Amino acid sequence: MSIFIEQIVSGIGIGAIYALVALGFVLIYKATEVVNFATGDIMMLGPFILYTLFVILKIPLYLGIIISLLCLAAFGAGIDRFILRRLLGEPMMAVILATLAVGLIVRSLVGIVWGFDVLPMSGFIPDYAVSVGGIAVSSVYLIALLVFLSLIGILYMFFQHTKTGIAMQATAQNQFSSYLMGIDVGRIFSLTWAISGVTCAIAGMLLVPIAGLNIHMTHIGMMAFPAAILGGLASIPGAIIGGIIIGVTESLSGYYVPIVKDSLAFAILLFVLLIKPEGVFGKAERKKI
Amino acid sequence: MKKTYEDYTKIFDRRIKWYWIWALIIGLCLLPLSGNNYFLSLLTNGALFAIVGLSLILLMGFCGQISLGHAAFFAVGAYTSCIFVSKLGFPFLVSMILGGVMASLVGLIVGLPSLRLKDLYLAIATLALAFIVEDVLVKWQRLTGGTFGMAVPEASVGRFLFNTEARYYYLVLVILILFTIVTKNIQRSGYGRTLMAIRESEIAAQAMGINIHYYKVAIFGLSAFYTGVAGSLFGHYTGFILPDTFNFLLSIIFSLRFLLVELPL
Repeated sequence: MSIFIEQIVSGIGIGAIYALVALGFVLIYKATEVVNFATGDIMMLGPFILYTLFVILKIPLYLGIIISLLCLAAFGAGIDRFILRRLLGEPMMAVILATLAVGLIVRSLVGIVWGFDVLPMSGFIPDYAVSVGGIAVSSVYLIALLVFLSLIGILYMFFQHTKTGIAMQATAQNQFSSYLMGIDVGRIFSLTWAISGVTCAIAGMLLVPIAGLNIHMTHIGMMAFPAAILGGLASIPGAIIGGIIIGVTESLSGYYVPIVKDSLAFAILLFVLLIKPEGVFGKAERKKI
Repeated sequence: MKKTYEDYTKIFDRRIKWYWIWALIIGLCLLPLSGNNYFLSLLTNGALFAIVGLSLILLMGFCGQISLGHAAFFAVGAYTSCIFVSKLGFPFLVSMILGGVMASLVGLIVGLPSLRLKDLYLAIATLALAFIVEDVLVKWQRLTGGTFGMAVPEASVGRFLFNTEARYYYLVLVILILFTIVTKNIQRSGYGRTLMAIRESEIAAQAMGINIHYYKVAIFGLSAFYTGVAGSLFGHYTGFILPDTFNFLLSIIFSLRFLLVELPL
């Protein structure tokens, strides 16, 4: 029984990371209706920049984290400003392929700059067993959960109580009317991409002690799709809960039926798409002729 | 501009295109005379990807469905054909077609989500299936050799071995031409026009009495058949296949090629 609970707790921990990636994905979809297939690659960029700053240049950790998050914010905003702004109104397939191409370029560049092997980066997130009442869990998962909860809190405050956040909500609801109300929609789009870049980068950094710092981390970024689809593509609470559900099922299946571990999330995705395509928390879209 | 019914049933609208096509085919047939093996291997790969391109033209061009999972069909074709040749001793041509059929069966399953999903959701669903197929290839070690890969015997018909670049090039070229003829005929027949009607508006097509469910699933199957045959040829050409060869980047590269070189077929 204690193993079961341990698996669930670590599943929630990894689910929190999936939820962060899915959050980055859903924020962009909600505001700009762009599906960002480069999510996993953007996520990977954060820890790699941190590696250069922290391990190679020996910059203090907190400064390093702040600089790499700023880099990612600038990178996200840059993708929007210089690539996707030019594709406004183009067919959806063109936008999908543009984001895929961004992902491919980022992945190849990371491979060229940092190589394809696992890089040693231990000790920046403390990793020891925490034991409460006979249940032992790695501190990594608990820290992931803690960071996740505080980030959700910050984002909630931002969206509800700042002028920019409310402007972003308005833009997500109706771009044209918010444009008429004097909101700089282009700036909001870039800002959304920047926030998404930051959440993805944080998720990537939390992932380093779990998956190791290497180029195959992008595959974990792909888990954003099952999480986001499960909760509904345009639903922020859906992405959070979807991520955690995917994390827990993956963790449990990894222990009890390891053979299905890697495909299970995608099987869930297909199942949800076939049964309820708009997701558990999403609203059904009406068909327009 | 197409005005009469004959305009729709012609293969090419102008006669001059026939001469160009013949010139192209004769040119392609003469190229092995150059004797440059590297150049020939590029051409063979190009012809293989052209078959995949034809399948994407059928699916995305004619019918307007999106697939990011074509690498999965490619992989199924390659693995099926290799298993039939090396483990069950089937002749190459038969197992190539079986590879296509098996890919086509997977395609029919992939086609099922297309009944309810469109655009983006379909892209994600096909992507998910591609991941699942890749994972099955890795995990089903007894059949596929897992991550250690699988050696593929050379292609042969009877006693004739396709063991030189030029021979294999002609084999792929012949199959490419066959598939092109089939695709061209689909395009000019009522079947192709039905697909295009579905692409333009599903609701209008349904109102015209077209059974869109049947056509959407069928076109996924047919498109997967093309890709499966191409995959089988690819497997026998490279001589060694790994699950990693068929990762989802390959699907994206297929789609990118399709979009970048949108040929006016």
